[in-house]
Amino acid sequence: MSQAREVRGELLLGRKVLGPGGRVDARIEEIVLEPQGDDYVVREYLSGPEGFLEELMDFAGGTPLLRHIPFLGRRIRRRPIRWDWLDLSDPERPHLKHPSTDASR
Amino acid sequence: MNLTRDILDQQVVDRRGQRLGKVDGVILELREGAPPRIAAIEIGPVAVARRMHPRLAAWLQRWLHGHGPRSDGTLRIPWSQVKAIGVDVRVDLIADGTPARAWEEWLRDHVVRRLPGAE
Amino acid sequence: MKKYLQVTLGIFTSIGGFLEVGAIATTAQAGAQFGFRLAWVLLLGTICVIFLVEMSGRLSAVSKHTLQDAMRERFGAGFFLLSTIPGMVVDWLVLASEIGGVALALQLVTGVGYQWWAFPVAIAAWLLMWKGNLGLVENGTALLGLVALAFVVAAVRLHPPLHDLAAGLVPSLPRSDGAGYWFLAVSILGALISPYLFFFYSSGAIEDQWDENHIGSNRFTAIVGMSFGAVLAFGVLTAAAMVFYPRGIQVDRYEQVALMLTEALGRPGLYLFAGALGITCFGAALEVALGRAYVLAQGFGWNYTLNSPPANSARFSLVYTGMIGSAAVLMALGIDPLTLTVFSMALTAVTLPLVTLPFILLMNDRAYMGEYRNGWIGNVAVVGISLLASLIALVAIPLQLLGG
Repeated sequence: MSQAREVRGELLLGRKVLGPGGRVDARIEEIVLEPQGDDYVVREYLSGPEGFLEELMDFAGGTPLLRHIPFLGRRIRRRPIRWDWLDLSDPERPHLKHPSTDASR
Repeated sequence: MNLTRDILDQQVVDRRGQRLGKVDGVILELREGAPPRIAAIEIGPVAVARRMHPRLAAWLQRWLHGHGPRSDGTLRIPWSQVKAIGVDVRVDLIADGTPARAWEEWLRDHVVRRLPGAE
Repeated sequence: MKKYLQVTLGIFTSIGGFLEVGAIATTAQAGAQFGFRLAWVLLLGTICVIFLVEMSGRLSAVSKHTLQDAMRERFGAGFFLLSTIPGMVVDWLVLASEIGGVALALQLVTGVGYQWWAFPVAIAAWLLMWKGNLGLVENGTALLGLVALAFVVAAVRLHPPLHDLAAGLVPSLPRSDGAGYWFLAVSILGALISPYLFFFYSSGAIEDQWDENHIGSNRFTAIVGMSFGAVLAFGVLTAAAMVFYPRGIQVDRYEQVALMLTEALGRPGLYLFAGALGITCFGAALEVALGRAYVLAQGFGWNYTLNSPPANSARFSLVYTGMIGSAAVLMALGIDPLTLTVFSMALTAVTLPLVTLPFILLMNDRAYMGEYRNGWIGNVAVVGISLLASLIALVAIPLQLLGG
């Protein structure tokens, strides 16, 4: 009987995601859920504008006028990370994994 | 449905429409070979404090347990009792008597009611 | 039609939020030192407040969330705490100044020192919040606040040169005492554009259960309500410009400010001034205490309402009780109300961007505003106001040190 392990969603947000070499790849900005029967399960993690200032810059990047201010107006791309690509065995240091590299297969 | 946009920090309301608190925390259950599922939502000041700094949370928890109603005010609501996510998060229970109301009820009984004209 | 009577919320908000001890003090000083030349700052402040108040009301009516509620839900607990804690400290100082204002008014009339009036005033305000409901607080103060029209009556009676007043409405550079000029300009804006004003208005909209049907009456309330406050403020500026400026009188004591009204209205002017000062400050004290109690209650998800007994919202009730009691202590200890007022206006100016910047994102958020999102006019306004607020925040403290 496997132990159900708990992770706090609100602490995952804003956590840096480490890439294969241990480099910081992104920050988890949002967790997208979808229904599965009676449950809601994680479909993917989004990285993108993190925090208030980045949101403002993202907004500026979307307006016709402010977009042209160099430092200010950039649109911030979000990259989805599928649920099985994130290894949460150490919840404080989530890192990217590709499901096909999972040695237990 | 998104965690930050639709669940976290949203207002929680009980079966009768009473305000319980905000969604201060979300508990995800990790599973082998299956995506994590939402197990519960959590209401409580310690959960908020933990989002700032874990030491702040530990201190707050000790303080809350040592004073007043001797409760840290944390209420964990299993996902099965969450009925709707919309303008508010509606849950299928009654607020009274739950830890989320512990401090409100204690302050009401020990301070507010002692002042004239409180009812 | 009843919706348009909601304008009392607007008038009350403007009497307490717009015209209160800070506005009276800074506007009177502006009139005394620079005549009509700072009138444009009043106009600018009024326009900013009208836009922000309308947006607070629209946000509440459409999203069914108050401004502070939306700030936590949209930006998270971290941002909420970081912006709320400094805001509460500043507003606590403002609250002490307002209590001081009422106490000074009573001192003017009775000769009994303001320190003795601090606690009675606080208790009176507390009783009104404890036993009264929002309607009583809004309507009662709005009605009584009409006494502030005495400033307008006095201003008219002094026959101000209209072309000087009109010229003052155009922004101009100072001819002398640049630091003092800009310091007053910043102080006036800090006094007029107060965050607690928007928190209170937005909470009032929710307690009064506004919805999409109130969009039009909200706009009307914001414009008429705030303009009413502006007319009062212009009255103060004009009276000061006519009475003090020609004589080169510097206003640094409240008793002198009362001269504005006695000159035009005779002996009753003293009582009218005390009445206007006392009531506007009383209204402001209620708004600040309630506004901040609403912020905490909504941010943490507690029950909050003035429309049922305090036992039903224990934490909310204890917050405003605690705030007003502790603020009264500052006055009872004998801290000079005028000095504290000027200081807390500068601090308010510093915290202003924390409120105006979130507006930009909230008013464009489809989930909150649906089809009532800001149009380009609203966005130009809110971005412009935020830039202004950020500029003011940067210069407020340096200017206070240089020119205050």
